[in-house]
Amino acid sequence: MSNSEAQTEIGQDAAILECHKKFLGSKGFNPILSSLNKQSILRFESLGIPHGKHEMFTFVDTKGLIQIVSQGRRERIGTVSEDIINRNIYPGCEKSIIVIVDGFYVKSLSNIRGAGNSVHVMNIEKAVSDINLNRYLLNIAERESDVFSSINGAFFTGGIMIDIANDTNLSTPLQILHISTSPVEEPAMITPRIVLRAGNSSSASVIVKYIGTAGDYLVNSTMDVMLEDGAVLKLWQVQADSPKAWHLSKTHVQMSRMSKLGTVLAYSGCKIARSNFEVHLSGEGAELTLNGISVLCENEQAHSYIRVYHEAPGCISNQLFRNIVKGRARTSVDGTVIVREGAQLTCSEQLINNLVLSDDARADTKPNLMIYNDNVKCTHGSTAGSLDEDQIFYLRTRNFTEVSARALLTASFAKKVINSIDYPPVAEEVRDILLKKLET
Amino acid sequence: MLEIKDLSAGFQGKEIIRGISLTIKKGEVHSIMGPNGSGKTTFTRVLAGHPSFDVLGGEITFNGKNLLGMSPEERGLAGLFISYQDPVEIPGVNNAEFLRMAYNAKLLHHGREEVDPLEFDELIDSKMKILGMDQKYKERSVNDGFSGGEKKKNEVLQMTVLEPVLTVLDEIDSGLDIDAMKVVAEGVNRLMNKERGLIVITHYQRLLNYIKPDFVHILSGGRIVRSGGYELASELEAVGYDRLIINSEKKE
Ligand SMILES: Nc1ncnc2c1ncn2[C@@H]1O[C@H](COP(=O)(O)OP(=O)(O)OP(=O)(O)O)[C@@H](O)[C@H]1O
Ligand SMILES: [Mg+2]
Repeated sequence: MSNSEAQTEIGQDAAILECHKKFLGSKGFNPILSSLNKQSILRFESLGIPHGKHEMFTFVDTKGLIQIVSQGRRERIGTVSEDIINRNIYPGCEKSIIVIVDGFYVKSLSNIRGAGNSVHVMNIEKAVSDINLNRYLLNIAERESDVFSSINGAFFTGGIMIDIANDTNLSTPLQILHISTSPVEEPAMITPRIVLRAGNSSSASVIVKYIGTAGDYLVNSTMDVMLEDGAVLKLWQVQADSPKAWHLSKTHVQMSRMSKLGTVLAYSGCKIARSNFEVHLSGEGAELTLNGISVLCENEQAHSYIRVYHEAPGCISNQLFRNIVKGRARTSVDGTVIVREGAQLTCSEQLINNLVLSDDARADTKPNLMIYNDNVKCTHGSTAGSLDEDQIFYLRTRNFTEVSARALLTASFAKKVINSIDYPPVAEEVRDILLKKLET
Repeated sequence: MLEIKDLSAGFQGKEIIRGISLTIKKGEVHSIMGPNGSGKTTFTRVLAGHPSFDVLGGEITFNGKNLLGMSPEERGLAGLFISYQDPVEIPGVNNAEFLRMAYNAKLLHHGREEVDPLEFDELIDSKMKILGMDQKYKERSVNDGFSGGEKKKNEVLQMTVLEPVLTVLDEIDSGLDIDAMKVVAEGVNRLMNKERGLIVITHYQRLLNYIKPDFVHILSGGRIVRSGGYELASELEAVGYDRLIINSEKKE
């Protein structure tokens, strides 16, 4: 790192602290969140802005992101048309839709009557009056390793807590729609924060979809997910931001005894999209399925940073990533599974498959296993390649044009992950969004 | 329907097919036999239009059209079907869906309406029944994890669905058990009529007992060194390639 570079980074550190000071004195600041905001800015100070070769950002050029982040958080909520909301509500979710605009929960645009009394949606400011929750979030903030999530923690207000009551069995999925608007002259960063608790033996599906009206916004989102004993949760994240946007997302998941999480990260990419997914399998017998799919064209980027901690005996984690890159697009999966000493009989699988459709596209992988106990079954691997010419020829001799042969093979590469979204409207839409990009 | 004149072709500068001439008329069944590495499969690749093989000379006309000027898919749509010695596995692509798309492409090409999955199901079910294929092969990925014999049956299934004008079967019998061979031969024979042509590539007379060729050609070193009737296969079975080829060279 050159001297001048080091200086600008120190300057940006200071700029963020300065913004935070202002934020604490502004109307937007809510004293109820003071302990969380402050804990996070402390954490930010000790983490510091990542330098060029920071190991958490091996594949991500953070320069542009830091530039935006150091201008602080946007205060104002933009206006969105009802039309754009309606177009982005999944069939069946009309009465279980939560709308977040520029990081703020908008009750008037949301409707969760369909979920009945078993789902409570409340402002996060209210939720943290529960001392246990506050302590839980403080604890996470204190250990946060992702500096951008610490920045979210330092600045967020207006988030929500979704509480799915014990023994609830939700028949229709709950949709969270994040809409980001164009920043105009305001800072570009918005900081959505959602806390989701799935109660004992509850069963639910949650869709998180990110979209944006035109603009170079930066959505810096953090989600805390807690699965209580025996909870079964499906969590599908669909990232469909404007191509000019920046997208950062941190999901922190805590899994208790016998809970099950099936999650899919479907990324259509943007200037830089990065998802940091951290899961703690901390109760015996917990099961995680984490799948990822991205289709990236032109200069789009989408990166996944995955940390799965096996902390209790008999837990299972399965990961499958399928990425398709074209043009000058870039993708990466940096995934580590950590098996703690006491986590006997752990089963863990991780597979990353990349389909690279052009010479200038890039797909990096960094699969890793850290095992601190012998009684485990862990595998990991990754592949990268282009389409198989023998398969293309075979299809062509069976009446497929070269274009349709390539399309079929590409779609089938993506199919396994897309089909793991077991709510057809979402799977279909993901298929449409992602595969349409390959037609151009 | 197929006229091959002095065809030579190769791979990365190496000549493998060295002057094949062959004429196939409607209704005829031809068999090509020849030792390992003599160029039989390469010949089918060139017929199919595989981009890795270069045509070095000669011409091929298929129903009056210049076959060598057509793309692989145009050849398929024109009614040429080549079954593979080693059918390609395509994990993730559903077998029935693949076959329906191939079939619909043919229908569209002939200006007819595509069939929907339900209609196609009826068609494929009846064909599978003839070949004694289990329904589960519809749900599996194309050739993915199929046994050697299952792959061959799947090739013949495609043939019976696509009803080609000219079929080339490259060692369809290898990998098939005796019973399966009978069933497959039956399926192939059913398809043959006065309007269609068939080339059967095989090492063994056994298959030719079921699919009776009108002509037998011996390919060696990329050339047809002898042609004859069905009896040539018996002669081959009796004396083997070495002597047969030496004999034919003497005759020349
Ligand atoms: N892709 C290739 N790369 C290198 N050599 C090739 C390739 N394809 C064919 N050949 C060579 O061309 C020659 C003819 O091979 P071909 O597969 O056509 O023989 P064949 O008559 O079908 O044999 P078999 O009876 O064993 O199936 C062989 O020497 C083979 O090694
Ligand atoms: Mg061969």
